[in-house]
Amino acid sequence: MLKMTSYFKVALFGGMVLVLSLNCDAADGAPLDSVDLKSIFIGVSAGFEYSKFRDFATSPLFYSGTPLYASLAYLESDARRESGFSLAYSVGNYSNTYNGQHSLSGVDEYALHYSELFILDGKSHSHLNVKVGGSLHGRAVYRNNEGLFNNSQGLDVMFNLSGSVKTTWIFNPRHRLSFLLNVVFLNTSYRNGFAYTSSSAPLNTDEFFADYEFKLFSGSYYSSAFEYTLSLNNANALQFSYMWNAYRINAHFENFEKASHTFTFSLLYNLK
Amino acid sequence: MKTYFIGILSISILCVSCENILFEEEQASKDPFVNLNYLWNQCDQKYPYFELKEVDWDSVRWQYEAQLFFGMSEDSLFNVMAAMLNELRDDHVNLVSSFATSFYGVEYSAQDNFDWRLIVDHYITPHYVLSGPFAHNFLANGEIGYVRLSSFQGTIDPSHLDYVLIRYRHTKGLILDLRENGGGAIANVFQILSRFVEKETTVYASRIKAGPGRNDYSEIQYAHVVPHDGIRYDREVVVLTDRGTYSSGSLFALAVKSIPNMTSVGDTTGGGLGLPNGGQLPNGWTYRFSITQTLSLTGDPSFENGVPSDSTVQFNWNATDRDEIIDAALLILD
Repeated sequence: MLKMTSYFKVALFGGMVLVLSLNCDAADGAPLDSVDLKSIFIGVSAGFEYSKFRDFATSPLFYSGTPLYASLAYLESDARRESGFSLAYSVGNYSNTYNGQHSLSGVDEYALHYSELFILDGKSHSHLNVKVGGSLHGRAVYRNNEGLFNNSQGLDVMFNLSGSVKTTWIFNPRHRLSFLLNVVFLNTSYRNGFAYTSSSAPLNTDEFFADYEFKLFSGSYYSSAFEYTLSLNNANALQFSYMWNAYRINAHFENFEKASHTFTFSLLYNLK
Repeated sequence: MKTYFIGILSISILCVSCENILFEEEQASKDPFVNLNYLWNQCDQKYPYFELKEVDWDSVRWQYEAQLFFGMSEDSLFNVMAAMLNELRDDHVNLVSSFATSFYGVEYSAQDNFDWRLIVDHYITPHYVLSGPFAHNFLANGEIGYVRLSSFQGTIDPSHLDYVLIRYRHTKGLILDLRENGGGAIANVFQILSRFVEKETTVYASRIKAGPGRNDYSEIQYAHVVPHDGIRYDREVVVLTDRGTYSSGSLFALAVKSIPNMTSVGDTTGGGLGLPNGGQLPNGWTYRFSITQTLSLTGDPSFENGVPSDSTVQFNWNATDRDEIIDAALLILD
């Protein structure tokens, strides 16, 4: 019953934010085709996160930390279409201090994103560009917590397909602000089995993934991003971003939850 | 445009607050009832030896929950929960707080059968050789090799094993002393055993808890020792065990029963054949307990309670210059 209630809340939330995104009214403006030419960028980003996670397979407690973040992206965009591929990596220590106990967990997180967005004509004009589409997100979280004995190491992998909405306000040719929202509609995960540790050690087989399970429709994923982009005279650009994501892996015996707030600074090199 | 900003702002606020919708409620708690029941449930679903150890886990819960009360000290709660875990009679079961670590102490359930100083003074002399974790020397006028391994911790360097086996290659037999060896890395067990087999040998079986029910296990899988492609020892090996031989030490003793040129002498080992996991309680303490069953080749899990030696010999503490267990091994190898 508890799980059903959570699913309902999550589905309700997802539906609500998508409807809100699409129903915001666009103001009148100039024809869109005059606004933008096609650009191809390589983006290099660095920043930091504030994030927290909880892996019920090993602990009911939240661990939080401020890991470092870096990413590399390839972006193609014009007024009518936008696609992007990025690889991101974050690393840092997460901790929990409660009841006089201090626990530390090192976390490495690898992520890849691919998105294809297309213009929503009825909502866009020269100062406002609204695109919708889909995105693929892959994520692997490796953690190491020596205090958990033989469960000290854990790896969780998830892939999901999301519906995406991106709104860009074009203040002038040099300044623009974007808001991106992704809401999952298909989530898959690869996670430890019931006992978390596998029996590979007593069998001397050294198989880390021996008891891992692949599950379809196994969680939720939401992410959003604010991006302020400043175009430079040399056609390159600087970008300041705030990204938020939260996800939950379930359908396994015990769930995994993680949320991150990421602040980045990016250099966008124009290849055209 | 203004409406858009308001919409986006609303979505942003919703997004951040979404974490609370997406996530389950906060579960950190110092409540003694919450913590005892959390630990009891983890064991209830994952511990594999209730039946073998004839532990009525349901009645254990009532017995120890009755000792809890709101406002009890951390120390008192720790003692109650540690006592609950010790009902499992398993040294792979521990409760760890910032101020104490619980243990069962199976080695103290039998007499002591090991005295290193006696061995040095009357058998291997103070001029014994250290090769990594191995302490070793000749016995019986150079006809027998004695090798002491006090722990399976860390990673054994193959060059140390090479040196030991080359040094004793002309002996009639080898004594491998695993008394009071409390365990460590299981990979070391297989690395050593691989020097004593001439063909692939199946030594025991294992299965892991795969669901919350008492009989929810994975398929049984078998562990094999594969001969080392290098220096091996093909003569008789006598393994010395006692109640302090635990965990990986017990796995070694169980494997010895399947290897033709190996035999064991001494006391029954302490057991501890299950692989322990690890976890954390709502109050931040950590714990571990076994989540696998090790079975004999006939499917018997009872070696968890200790692996009996092939020849049972006890130390005689009245004879201060003799190690009766080494003497028995020398007789076997003579």
